[in-house]
Amino acid sequence: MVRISFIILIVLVFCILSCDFFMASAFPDYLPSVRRVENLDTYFSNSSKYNYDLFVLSDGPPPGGNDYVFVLYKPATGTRRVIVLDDELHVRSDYEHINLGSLHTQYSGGPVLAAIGSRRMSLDGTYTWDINDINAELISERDNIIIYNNNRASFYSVSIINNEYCNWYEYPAALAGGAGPSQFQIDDLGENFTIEAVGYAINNENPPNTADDEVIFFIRRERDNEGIAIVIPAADFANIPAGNQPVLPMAPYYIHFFGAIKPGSVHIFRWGRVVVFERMDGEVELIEYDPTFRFMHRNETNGKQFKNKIVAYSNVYPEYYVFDPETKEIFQCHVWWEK
Amino acid sequence: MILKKCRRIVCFFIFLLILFFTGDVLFAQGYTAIPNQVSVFLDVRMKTEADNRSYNTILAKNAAIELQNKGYITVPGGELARILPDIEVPAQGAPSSAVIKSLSDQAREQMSKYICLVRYIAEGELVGFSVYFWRLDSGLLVSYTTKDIVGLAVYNRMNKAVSLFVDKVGEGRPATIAGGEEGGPKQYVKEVIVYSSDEGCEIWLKDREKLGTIKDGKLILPYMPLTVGSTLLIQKKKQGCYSAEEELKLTQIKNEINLMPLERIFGSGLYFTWTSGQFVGLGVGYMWSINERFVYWGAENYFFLQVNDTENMNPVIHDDIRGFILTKFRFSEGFPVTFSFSSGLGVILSLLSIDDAPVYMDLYLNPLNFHLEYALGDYMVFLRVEYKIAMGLGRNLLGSGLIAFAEGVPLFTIGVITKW
Repeated sequence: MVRISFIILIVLVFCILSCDFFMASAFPDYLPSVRRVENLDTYFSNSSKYNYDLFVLSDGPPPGGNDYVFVLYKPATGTRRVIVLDDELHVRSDYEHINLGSLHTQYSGGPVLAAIGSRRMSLDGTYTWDINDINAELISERDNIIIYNNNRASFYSVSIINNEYCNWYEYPAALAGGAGPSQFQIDDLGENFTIEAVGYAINNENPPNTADDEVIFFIRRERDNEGIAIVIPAADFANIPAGNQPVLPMAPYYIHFFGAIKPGSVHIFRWGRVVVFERMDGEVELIEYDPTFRFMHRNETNGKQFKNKIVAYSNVYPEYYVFDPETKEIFQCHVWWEK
Repeated sequence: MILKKCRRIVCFFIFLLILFFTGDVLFAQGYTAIPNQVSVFLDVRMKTEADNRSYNTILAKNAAIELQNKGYITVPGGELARILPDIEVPAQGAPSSAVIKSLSDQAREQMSKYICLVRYIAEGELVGFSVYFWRLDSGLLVSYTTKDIVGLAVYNRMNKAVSLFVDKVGEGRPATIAGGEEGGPKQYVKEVIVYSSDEGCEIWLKDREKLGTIKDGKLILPYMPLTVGSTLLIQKKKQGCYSAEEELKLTQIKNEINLMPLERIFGSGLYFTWTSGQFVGLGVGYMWSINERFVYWGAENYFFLQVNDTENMNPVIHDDIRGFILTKFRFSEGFPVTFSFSSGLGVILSLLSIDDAPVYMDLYLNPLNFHLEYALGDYMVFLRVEYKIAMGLGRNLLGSGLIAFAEGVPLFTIGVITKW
């Protein structure tokens, strides 16, 4: 009787310990996917474990494109610092300036640069910094993203979006004192939205036809954290829609609803074709779109492995980067959705 | 005429007188005994009154059982000291005729056919045990005398004496149960054999005396007047093991019972472990006692691989090394479940399977582990809940804080210890 109960106990314990819940490791799940690692403690040894940002920019599409990895430390006061690494995690630039802010520029068909606050670095392999020629006063913080569109830079102001309108500025005209913001309405239901991410999707046609390029707004409805992707033909921003009609649910714009997402968790990369975000249940979800920006497939992974870490995805290669602000380790990992 | 009448009256009175004094002889009924009834008398003289009372009871019951098993009815005759207060009965030698006559008178009143006298008299370190059987109409049948040490050998001796008696007179008719109940007599346990893997283990009657020692894996318990369906509480003692009690259920006339193994006193032990979230691995450790039975030192090494299901995955090698002190708590000696608390510190070395990978060291404090243990003879299985706090020193992977495999849930470990 005792032996039988002992056997039952062992089987029970084993069944419990076989559940996924108990199989999760104390070490982050991405470690077996690591390709390269670098320690940045010598650069951030006197820094706290807060106020970091991580982003990856590319100087061109594959196969020739290269990644530039930016690790930015931006305390509330004092000098800010950015470390730039190449895609082999060699530190190529160590730059300090009080006016370093957040990333403002992504790649498009025009000149490629990283504008960080009032400073910018050309993605030309020289790793040199100069003054951002875009008026820094118009660019406050994180969500003001500039998109190059046929040699025009356009950006939006996130503070206005909460009144269900998106302000769209056109560079250089607006900065030169020219035309003010154009505005388009998201919906007419009185809802408030926040822009989580913006992407510029290139239709990879041969020969390239920029007229088919698209702009993707990934917004979050504040009432219920619903994530919504709105795709607008890039050409429409040359002539902003009249604003008489709300974008949602107007055709021909494509709209996709994702359910409740965590604020600040959205990444758009691969030339606007891939979106990664974190759901409210802690799972990280990936959505991949076909060239017509229609939903293709999805994948997901345990988001808890990224807790207290910062993640950024490569546009060029099947890689992503994880920076741990506490240990100051940066990892280059093979993407988790390729099994 | 008158003289003739007086003579007749006087003769009549004389006749009455003669009748008065001799009537019990002339007119006595013939003695009709119950043919299978035995009056049992006792003569117990131990060193203390308490022992006298105790052995009076034991011997009375023992004799009754033995005789009843052979189909005889027994009636208690009483103790010699009370029946014959005025007769000095020597401790040695057969009872005198005066004693026998007194016992016979009593037995006759009880309508018994036989008398049984059991004598149990201490003689220094030994005890003289004697059993006598008489038949009232013919005299002594059995005289059985031995000398033994005080103990339960008396049960065997009684059995022998009764066997001699039965050999002489045969078995009696099946006795009827008092109260007119239908059915046969009560069944008594004749044999109890216990089997045990604890060679050399002593078996004791609880708080009383030793029944024997396990030899070649078994022990035949000495005869005890126990009925079928009763239980017997024994103690098991063996050097190097925790003593334990066990209740034996005697369900048959002949019983063969496997005893539970004794738990070895845990002086030191080698053990193996498996930890949640680290199942592609194995731990080995060693513990040894500081304070016998309660406090232990220990060292442990757990080696495991970390894998995932992505393409081109490179396993990460982890090695967890730690030392600890453990304190054990027992509910009671012999109870197989114990629980323990332990504390210590350690380090987890980690190596990524890539070129130029550094060796990461996650130093941690281990302020508290809780163990639940179950003893199985020379082995013990346990479940351990671990609280480890990473210190975030040096080049590490975990930073600082609780080391857990899920949101705040500590690590679980199962293991087995082999005791030495």
